Amino acid sequence: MLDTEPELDRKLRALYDHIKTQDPPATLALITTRTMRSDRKMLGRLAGVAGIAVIAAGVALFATELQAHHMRTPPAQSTHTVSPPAPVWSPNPLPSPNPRLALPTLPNRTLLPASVRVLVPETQGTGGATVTIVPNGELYVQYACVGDTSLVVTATHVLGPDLRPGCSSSVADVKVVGTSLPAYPNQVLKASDLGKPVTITISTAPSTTWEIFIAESGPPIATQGWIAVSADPWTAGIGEHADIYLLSAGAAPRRIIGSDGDGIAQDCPTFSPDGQRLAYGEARASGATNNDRGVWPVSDRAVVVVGMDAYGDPSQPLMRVTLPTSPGEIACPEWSPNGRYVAYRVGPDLWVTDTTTGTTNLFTVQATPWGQNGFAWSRDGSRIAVAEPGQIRVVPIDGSTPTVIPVNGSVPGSYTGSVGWTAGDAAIVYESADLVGDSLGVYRIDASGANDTPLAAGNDAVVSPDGTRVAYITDPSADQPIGQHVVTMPTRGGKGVEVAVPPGFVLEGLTWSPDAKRLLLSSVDGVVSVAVAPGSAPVVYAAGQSPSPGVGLDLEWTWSEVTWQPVTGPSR
Amino acid sequence: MTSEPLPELAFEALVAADTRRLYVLALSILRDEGEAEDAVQETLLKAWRSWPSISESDHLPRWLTRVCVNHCTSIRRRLRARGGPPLELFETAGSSGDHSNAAEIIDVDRAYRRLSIRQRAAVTLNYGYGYSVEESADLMGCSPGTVRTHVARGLASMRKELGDA
Repeated sequence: MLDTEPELDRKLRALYDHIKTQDPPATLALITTRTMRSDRKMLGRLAGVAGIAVIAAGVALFATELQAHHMRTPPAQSTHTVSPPAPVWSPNPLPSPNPRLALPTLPNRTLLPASVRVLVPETQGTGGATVTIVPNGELYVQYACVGDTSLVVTATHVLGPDLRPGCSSSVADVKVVGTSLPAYPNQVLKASDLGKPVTITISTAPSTTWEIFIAESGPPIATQGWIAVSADPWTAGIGEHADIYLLSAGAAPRRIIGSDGDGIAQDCPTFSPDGQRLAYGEARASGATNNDRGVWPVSDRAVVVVGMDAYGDPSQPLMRVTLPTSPGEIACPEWSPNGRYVAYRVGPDLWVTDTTTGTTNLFTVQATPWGQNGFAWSRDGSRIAVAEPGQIRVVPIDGSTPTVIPVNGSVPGSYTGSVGWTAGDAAIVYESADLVGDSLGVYRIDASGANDTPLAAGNDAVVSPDGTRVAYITDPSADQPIGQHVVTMPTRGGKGVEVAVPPGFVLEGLTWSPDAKRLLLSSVDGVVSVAVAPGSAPVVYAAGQSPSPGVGLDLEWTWSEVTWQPVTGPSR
Repeated sequence: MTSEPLPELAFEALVAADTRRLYVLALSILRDEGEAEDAVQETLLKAWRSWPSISESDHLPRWLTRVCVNHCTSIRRRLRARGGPPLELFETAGSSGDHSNAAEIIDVDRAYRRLSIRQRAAVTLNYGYGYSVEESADLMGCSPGTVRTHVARGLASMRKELGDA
């Protein structure tokens, strides 16, 4: 036993002694006995030819469910009993794209190359390029740390009034030198500079390698920006709930939504595909807040969309969809690929809200006891794959007939977790419990329902943004106590490649970076990104539990609810 | 003709009798009655499915403990949990008559619940059940160093929460 202080020793013993007085519920033995007996029958049938009958019966059951209507409108337009969504629009909704990030067409564009790429290798401290400042133009300078095989974008700096903060000059010393061009940072070009050729010289620390882009408009690297996470401060007192924090490397987490003691949990944030809006679920404890997370399930549930400006500040809500007043779990939205819709599960319904009109359609799905996640938009935005016990329901959002795909042996009620579409929407990768044990596995099945194939033992499977790879965590099991690892594998199957993670970091949630070159690890130990391919060091965005007040975040129950902002711009 | 005992009877005699021990262990880690019940049920189900290979084992209790711990820390359980535990335990503690002791247990429990699941598992095994670090690591399926880290962080967190630092 490890050492501890006598006082804590006494208190812990009192707690454990109290726990040991708790009797198991009487239902446990009954349920166990019943389960064993039915399980024995089931296994016997599955072991023989009659197993096919089980599958057939399951398919028949699913077919019956298909008789239900496929798409409904909210209560105002239908007989559905839930409350109407009642979207609330701010007086001045943020347009998309945000004009702050959109530059006017430059009249003398031919004078300026579309972009100038300056690679500053590690052995060379300085690189430079000569460009011509054009009338009414602004220059973007974006620099990124380069590893052997991966690129980590640290920040985008704009020479002009829309300077984007987030990366200090201590990370890379960027200087702009010209005849009369003011030095970086955050200076507006003067009229006298326009039309003149200037030399931009960029110096970097000798131990780093930076890739630097200079362009007339837009961040030329379409990649990632802020990271948002739902968490508590470790210093939170009784009654605190999840708030949303913005993270960037080398900076303390900044709370942007929520406050201490507001009694409202803001959870599962997710950036829109253009990175300019943030959707999240929120709720209030359904009773008196008398423990650190309130009373659950929660009430006053809503899905909220806010705009995000270039400084990482949220707007007032652009949209708030209120959910049924009955308590339930927090709804976690997911954006459609075109950024127009958000979808979220509400018990036995899948809600799809058009953020441009506020209208919502409801689709019947099966509720699961595994939370409100477990669904994914197809890449063409026409369908949503919904994980249900023992099956995946593919719901076309145009209201046509859903397809129900029994998965992994079609054992009714078996666990089916995260889902993701492969490139071209050819197949769905999902996680599920295996048939004979309790370990989780990653599987792939064609969108047609054919070729259900196990890919690997693991969990927390997440498909890469381009749909070509899947990342997952291998968990220790009773049979294979091999510890946790992060592995990526082609979604078509093949050799898994282990991703190096910080030693001792508890692995709980994985999130791909928008450029698919890094993975965010999020757990009670904090938020850290690691390179998928070797060659780049981990980047710490938030510490977990920390002895320094205000530094660490409590991510205990929001392990996977991290989102990485895509930053749109011209392709390279 | 030999008359071997029915598997159900042997199973119930050897395994189901361990239900209470497993339930208390799961409750110590999860601090949620429903989830503890699920973990024990799944442990027993796995034992039943593996009964032909484990029924003769001298290490059956340890096997059950290991499976139960892994159920408690598995992703499947975490997927189910999106909020805090119910308050029945607080109420039970509060009705025990000794109000000062009950209040202290409530405070300790509150700090304890703020630990991660794996921290709770490590503290429970190493501290609450007296397993060595190496034994705890074997039961949790991780390295002894990881157990030490979880225990150290967990206790440090509790000290901070309880103002014992």
